[in-house]
Amino acid sequence: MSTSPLPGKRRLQDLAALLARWLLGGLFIYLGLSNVFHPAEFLTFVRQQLMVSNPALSSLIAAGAPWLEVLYGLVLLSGMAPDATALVARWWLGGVFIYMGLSKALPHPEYFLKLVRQYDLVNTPLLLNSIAAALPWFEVFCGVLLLVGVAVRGSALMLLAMLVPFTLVVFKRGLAIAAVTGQPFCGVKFDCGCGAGEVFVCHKLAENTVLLLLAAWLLMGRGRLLSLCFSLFREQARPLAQPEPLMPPAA
Amino acid sequence: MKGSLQEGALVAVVGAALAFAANALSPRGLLLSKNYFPGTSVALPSPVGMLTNTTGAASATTNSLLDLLSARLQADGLQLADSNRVVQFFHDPRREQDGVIFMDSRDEEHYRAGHIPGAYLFDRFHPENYLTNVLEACLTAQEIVFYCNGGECDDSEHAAIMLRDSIGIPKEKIFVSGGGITEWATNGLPIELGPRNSGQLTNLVPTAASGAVGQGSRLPSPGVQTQESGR
Repeated sequence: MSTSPLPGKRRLQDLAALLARWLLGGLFIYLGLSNVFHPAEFLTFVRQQLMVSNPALSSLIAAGAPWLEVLYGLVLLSGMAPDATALVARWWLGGVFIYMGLSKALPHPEYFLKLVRQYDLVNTPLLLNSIAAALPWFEVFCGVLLLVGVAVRGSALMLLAMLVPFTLVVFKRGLAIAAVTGQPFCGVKFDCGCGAGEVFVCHKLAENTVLLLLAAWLLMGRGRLLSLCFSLFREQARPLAQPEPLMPPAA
Repeated sequence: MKGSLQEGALVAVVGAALAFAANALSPRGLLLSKNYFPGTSVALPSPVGMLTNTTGAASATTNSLLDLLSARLQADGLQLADSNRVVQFFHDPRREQDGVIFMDSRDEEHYRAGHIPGAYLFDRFHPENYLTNVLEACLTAQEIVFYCNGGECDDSEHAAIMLRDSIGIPKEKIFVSGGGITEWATNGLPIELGPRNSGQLTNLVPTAASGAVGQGSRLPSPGVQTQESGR
């Protein structure tokens, strides 16, 4: 653990980190632009799902947020200001999970219970109820930890542990619906239980990929800026020569 | 990596404990030991909203899905009421004296946004709030039609099973609407807004060829389609 990776392995890691950063930046640009080109849908999302009832404020958010996503994507692609971008990533990921958790837990947790049941993952009522009861609050908990910067890598690991299987079951359900209806896969729209209502499956998968990459990025030790207690356990000293994951070395 | 795993395990344990505590403290929290889905609970092999979608490929399979639904209801000792039967029940003169009643199995928010005129509200997730209101009507009615949203929603059949088993309604009296309120609205039938017998009626005209609830429809309210997939 304490030794530096071999040069060949390091080059491979650097390349993987670079590709991951480009993918993340590209996905942010894609998601931002898709909202720019579908302003009415995004405005509806802001008003109904984010519950921003004030017309002026909702319009402002609907007009500005997609461009912020695009801007963030461009910054990621460029590799500028790695600490600041990692901080934004941590806050963004934390905020998304707090929102998604609360929208499932309140005010109608039974909706989430029904959606979990549709995936047909568990049969016993106790297990089904436990998942539907605890998962939303657990997401809120992890989101709060990320927002304040406590146990960041542990929280990111938990988010990854939730996101990977969840993304797989969404993909599987999208395939099943496409097979039954004869729709193209990306034309399938359903409520996946993600807390944002009905979504197009490809858009949801892109969003989940973003969340997965952000969680992986934090797991690799980024996002220390303005964190209250980044690690609960003593960290091993990092070799000075080790490159920054996902980001190019600071100039 | 070892530190991350330890930290993750700690977050998992503390987070799970807090999550269960939050659910227990929440007034809308779920009861862990309760079976919210009584009955055979065999899911229909249909995507969201299939039974209420009358367009294209979906319509080709609607009949077979209704057959599957009918079989499932029969297994639970319930009877399926198709669109025509539901309309017959609505025009039945006995409805005026609560000889035939409709039971809306959605939540109060959606009920108030629009329901079959005169229907009683019974949110099965919070039966304690509604049981006293529906008890007498259920016991005296000769026929009871349960409905929810349509599509994959099975709240109506679970509500029917719950009431049948808890207050002893004979199964011969119980019917479950296959198309639910969505089909009702799509067919342009009257919708009552607000509380029961409010007198605020509206008619929804079906949109040409779409089979969907028309624009400007006040039913279902925002969030019904997105948060609840329902029959």
